[in-house]
Amino acid sequence: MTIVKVSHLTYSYGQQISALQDVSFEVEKGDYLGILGGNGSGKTTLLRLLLGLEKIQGGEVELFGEPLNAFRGWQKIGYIPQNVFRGDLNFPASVLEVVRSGYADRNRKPSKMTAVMEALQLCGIGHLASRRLGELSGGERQRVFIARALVSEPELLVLDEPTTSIDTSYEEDLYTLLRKLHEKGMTIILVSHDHDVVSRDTRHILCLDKKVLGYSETKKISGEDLDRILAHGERVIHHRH
Amino acid sequence: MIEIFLDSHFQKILVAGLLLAAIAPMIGLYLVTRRYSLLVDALSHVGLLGIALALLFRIPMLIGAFATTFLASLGIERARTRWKTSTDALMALFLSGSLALSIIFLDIHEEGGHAHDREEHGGIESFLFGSIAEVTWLQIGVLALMLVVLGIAVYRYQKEYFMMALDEELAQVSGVSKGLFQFLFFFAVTAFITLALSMVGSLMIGALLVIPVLASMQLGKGFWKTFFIALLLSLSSTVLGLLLAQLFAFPSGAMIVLVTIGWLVLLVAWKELRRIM
Repeated sequence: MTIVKVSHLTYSYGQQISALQDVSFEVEKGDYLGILGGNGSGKTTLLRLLLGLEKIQGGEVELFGEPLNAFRGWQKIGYIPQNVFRGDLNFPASVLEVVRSGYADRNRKPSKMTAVMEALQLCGIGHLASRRLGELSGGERQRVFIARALVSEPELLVLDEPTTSIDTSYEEDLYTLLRKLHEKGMTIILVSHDHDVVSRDTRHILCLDKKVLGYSETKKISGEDLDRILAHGERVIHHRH
Repeated sequence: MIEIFLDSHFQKILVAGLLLAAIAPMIGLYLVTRRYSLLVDALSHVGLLGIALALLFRIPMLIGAFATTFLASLGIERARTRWKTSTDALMALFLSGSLALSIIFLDIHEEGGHAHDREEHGGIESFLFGSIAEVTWLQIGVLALMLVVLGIAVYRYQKEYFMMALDEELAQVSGVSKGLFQFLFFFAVTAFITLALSMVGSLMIGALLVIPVLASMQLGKGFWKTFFIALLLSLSSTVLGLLLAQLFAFPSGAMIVLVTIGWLVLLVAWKELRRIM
């Protein structure tokens, strides 16, 4: 089943600044796609478009087989933005409240509280449950929002540079967690600047610099190839077989 | 002091004040957590402009105030999101712009031979400072209806309310319709401003909505506990403020706001004391 289908997506900021040009790709159920690209390559814009956070100017997006504007199954999607929680540090909410807000009753869990506690434990922040969001470090807050995204066991997990503000000691734990979730069948789209992690963990790689520079099965592309594509804009497309 | 509570006119004022105080945190919590606190000040002054236009074109004042305030709230939100205009600059523009226009329109209106309206409606001062003593049973009825509708909506959609306050984009990816939520929220803000304008005045509306929530946030509780504490502070400030206003013949809106600020100062002091000790 195709979970995400992006066809000829084009986007520009204002009249002049082109952010994406004719981007097309598909993500199948159970896939783990890594999206690589430099600053300003359109990675975040691409994610925002496929999650409906920006208005599509040209092209089409389908989620779970439905056109984006008709899609209503948002509880199937977990999203972790690059900069979580840009609000007031005095925001009156506990970690528990934030994680609980991500819970959608999909008849999979024995109870909401169990699901919330499991998600907190999975992200190693069970001990922070009653703390206020504003009291936590940037890294801890990021983990709270990762737990929020996971609490309903989404079918598709979308992460935009998830390690930007987390401490290096937790980075590897997060990638291990993502590998485990993928092994259990979760479809994952990971936007990252970390070539090593994407090359090691993902099943497919999409290299982006406003347009698709390369799309390939991860095992078919070497680290040198990746560097060459991203540095020189050389286009390599390995189609699905 | 008991006699004051037995006075039927004071009872009417108290009911109106308590209704305003009960509605205020439902709107104020979202305003404060989304950093929209100044929006209400700007919109209340747009409400003044609506009243000035209503007088000029001889249409009911409440309709004038509601229509201009609602249009301005949608305009501000559109400018903020679509053109990425900074919120504080927009607030300043709408606040001073609408106040200036109100003064000019009221001046034109009076020069046009309608000076007697000043005696009838008390001039711009009556809407700047308000007078809860002149509240009508119709206004009380509409406030009660608003309390019921808003209360049910906030209870029914508490998860969506929380998510929108926490992060608009995460709320959207969870399936919340940002456009619909904001449309309904600004509708509620506009209705509150329109109803409160003649009772507490445009200068005090923002304080009624924002300060109880700010005071409650000092206690460091969760989202809905903060809401209920703000509700208690808002209701208690209204009773105490109206009582003091009645006893010492002070303007009621100003007294309520001063009591609310008193709560805020006390809670900030308590928080600091707890931090030191």
